Amino acid sequence: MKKRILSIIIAASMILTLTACGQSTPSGSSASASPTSGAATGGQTDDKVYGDPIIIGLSLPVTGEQAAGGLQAKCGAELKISEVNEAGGIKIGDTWHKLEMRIEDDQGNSDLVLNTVNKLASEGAVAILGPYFSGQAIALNDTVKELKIALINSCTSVKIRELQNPWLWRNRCDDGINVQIIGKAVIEDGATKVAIMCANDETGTAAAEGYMKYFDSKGIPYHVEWHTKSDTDLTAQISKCIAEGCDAWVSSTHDTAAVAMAKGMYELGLRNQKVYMNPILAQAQVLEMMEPEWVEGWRCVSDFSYTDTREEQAEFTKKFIAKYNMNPDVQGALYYSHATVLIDAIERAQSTDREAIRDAIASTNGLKTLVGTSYASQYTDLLYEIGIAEIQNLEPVIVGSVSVAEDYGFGK
Amino acid sequence: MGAANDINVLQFIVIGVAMGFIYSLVATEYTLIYNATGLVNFAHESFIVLGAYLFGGTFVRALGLPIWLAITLAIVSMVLFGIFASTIVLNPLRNLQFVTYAMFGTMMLSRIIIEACRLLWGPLPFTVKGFLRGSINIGSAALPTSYVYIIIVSIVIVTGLQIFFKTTRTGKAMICVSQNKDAAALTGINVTRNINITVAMSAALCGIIGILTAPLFNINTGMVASTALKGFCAGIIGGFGSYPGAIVGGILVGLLEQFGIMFFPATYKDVVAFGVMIIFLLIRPSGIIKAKKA
Repeated sequence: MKKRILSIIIAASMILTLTACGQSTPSGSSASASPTSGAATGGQTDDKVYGDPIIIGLSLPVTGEQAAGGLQAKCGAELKISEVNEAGGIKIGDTWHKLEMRIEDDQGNSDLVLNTVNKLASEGAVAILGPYFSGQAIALNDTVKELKIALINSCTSVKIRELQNPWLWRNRCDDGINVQIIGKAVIEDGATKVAIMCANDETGTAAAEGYMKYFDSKGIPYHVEWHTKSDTDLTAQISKCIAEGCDAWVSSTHDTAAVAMAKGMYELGLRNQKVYMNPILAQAQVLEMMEPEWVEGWRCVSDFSYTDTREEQAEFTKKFIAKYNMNPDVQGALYYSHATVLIDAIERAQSTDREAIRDAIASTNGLKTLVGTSYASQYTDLLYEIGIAEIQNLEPVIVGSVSVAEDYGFGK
Repeated sequence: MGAANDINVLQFIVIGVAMGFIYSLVATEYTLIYNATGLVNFAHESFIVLGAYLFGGTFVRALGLPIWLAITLAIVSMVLFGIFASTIVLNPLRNLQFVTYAMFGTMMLSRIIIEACRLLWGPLPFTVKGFLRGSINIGSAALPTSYVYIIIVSIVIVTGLQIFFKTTRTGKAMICVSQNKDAAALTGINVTRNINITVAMSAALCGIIGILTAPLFNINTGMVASTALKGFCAGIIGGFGSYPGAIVGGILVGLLEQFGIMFFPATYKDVVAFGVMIIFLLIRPSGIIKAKKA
C-alpha cells in the first residue's frame, strides 16, 4: 500500500514538473511583458507626452538547435529598439511612444510559429520580426493575411516571393541572388565539377535548384548530395562527391550540418578546397564549434562580419559587445537592420495601424541600414546586396561585396 | 580530385562498423536496465546528454580540468546520479501495477533531465576543442579518431561486462535478479541494492557514450536523439535482453545504414534502422540472438 502511494506521488510530481518545464520553454517567454520592464523600453523624458508603447513582436528560436542564432537575432533587434527608446522613442502626431519588444519562442518549428505569431498579434504587436526559417515563413502565408500583420525576416528562399504575399517581407538578399554570386565566384575560381551539398528543407532545396539551373546555363557539371539540417555526419555524402570527381563545393545549409561538413571534409583528407557557402558559415556560434584548420580559406556570402572596420559596422560591433559581451554575427546585424526598417516604416506611416505600417514598408526606398540599402520591391524583397567573407583563423573577414540593386531598377 | 573514381566501399564499411559500435553501446545500456528492472529506460538518451554536459560543460570548459580528470569525474558523477535516479525513480517505478505507467515515468524523467541541462548549461550547442580530433588512414579509408576510441572502448566494455557477469559475485547476482527477481530475493540477494548497482553501471555507460559522441555530434540537448532510437532498434534486432545480441544488432544496423547510403539518397539513412526493426518484429521478434530467461 505504502509503495503504491509512493509510486503515485512520484508519478504525479513528475507530471507536474513536466508541465512546469513545458510551460517555461515553448511559448511563454517574453523579453518585456510590460512597458516598465525590460531593457527595450528605456526611461521617460520630462517634456514629452507619452502614449501607450508600440509593441514589436519577435518570433525566434529561443530554444532548440538554432537557439544561438535566435539569441543573436533577439539581441540585434533589442539593441536597435533600445537606441530608439533612449533617444525618446517614436513621435506619432503630438504623442511620443516608446517601443516594447515581445519575444516568443517558436523553436524554429513550423507548427509552433503559427501559435507564436497568433499570440503576438493578439497581444497587440504592430508587426513581427521573424521567423528564422524559410519553411516557417511559408507556413505563415495564410496566417499573416488573416491577421493582417507584416513580418520582416531574413528568410532567403525564393519560394517566399513566389507567394506574392504583401505581408511577408525580407531585408536580405534571396537565395536566387546568392546563388548567382556564389556560382560565378566558384567558376572564376577554376572549378571543373561542383559538389552541391544542400539541406533538404525549403532553404536548401531552393538554393540547390538555383545552383543546378545556374551551372546548367554555364555548362559546368555538378553532383548533388542532400542532408537534413540536423545531420551530424556527412562523411557518406562527401565520399560520394569525391567519387564523382568534384573539385569545388557549394553549400546551403544550417548550423549543425555546416559543422559536420567541415569536420567530415577535413577528416577525409580534403585540404585547400574551393568551398563557398551560404551566410551560415560566418555565424559566430557555428565557427565556435569548428577547428581553425577545417575551414581556413573557405568563403561565404555574408551580410556582416564583426571584423569589418567600416565606421558604421565597427560602431555597431562596439555597442553590441558592450551590451551583450559577445561578438555580433550575421543574425545580430540582420535583425538590427530589420528593426531599422520597421521603425522607419512606423515613423513614415505616422500610425500604429498594421495596414498603414505594411504600406510604409512597401514604399521603403533607399533606406540605409547596417547590412545595406533597402528598396522595397512589389513583393517581399527589400535588399539586393551582400558581402563575400573569407574565413581566416575562424574569423569571417569581408573581402568584397556585390550589389545587384541597379539590375532590379533601384538606386539609379 | 577532378576525375571520377569508384565509390570507396572500404570507407563506408569502416564508418558503418564504427557507428555500429555506438549503437551497440546504446543497446547494451538498454539491455542492462531492462534485465535488471524489466523496464525500457526511455530516460536513457537524457543520461547520455547529461554525461556529455558534465564532461564538456562543467569539468572541461567551466573548471578547465585536464581531459583525463574530466572524464573520470564525469563517470563518477554519472554513477552517483545513477544511484540517485534508481533510488528515487526506477526502483519505485518497477513495482507499479502497470508497466505502461513506469515507461511514462522514465519518459518524464528524461524530459526533466533535458530541461535541467538546458537551464544549467544554456541552450547553445558547444564543443570541446581539440578533443578526439583528426583521423587515421586504414588503407584507402579515413577513420576519424573519435571512432577509433569508440571501437576500442566498446570492445573493452563489452568484454569487461562479460567477465564481470561470469566471474564476480555481484555480476552473478545481477544475472540472477534479471532472470527471476523473486527467486533471487529468496536466495538472499538484495534485489533493490542490485538494481541500484545496475542502474549506476548503466549511467556510467551512458556517461561514456556521451563523452565519446561529444566530438561527433557537438554537445546539445538533442545530440543523440536519433542515435538513441537507432540503438533501441539495434537492441530489438539483435535480441532485446541479450548482450551479444546488442553487439550484433548494433553492427548490423551500422553497416546496413552505410550500405543504404551507397545506393539511396543519404537523407533516407535513418529509415534503414527503423525499417529493419519492423521486419524483425514481424518475422523474428526475439531478434537474432534470443535472450536467455529462467
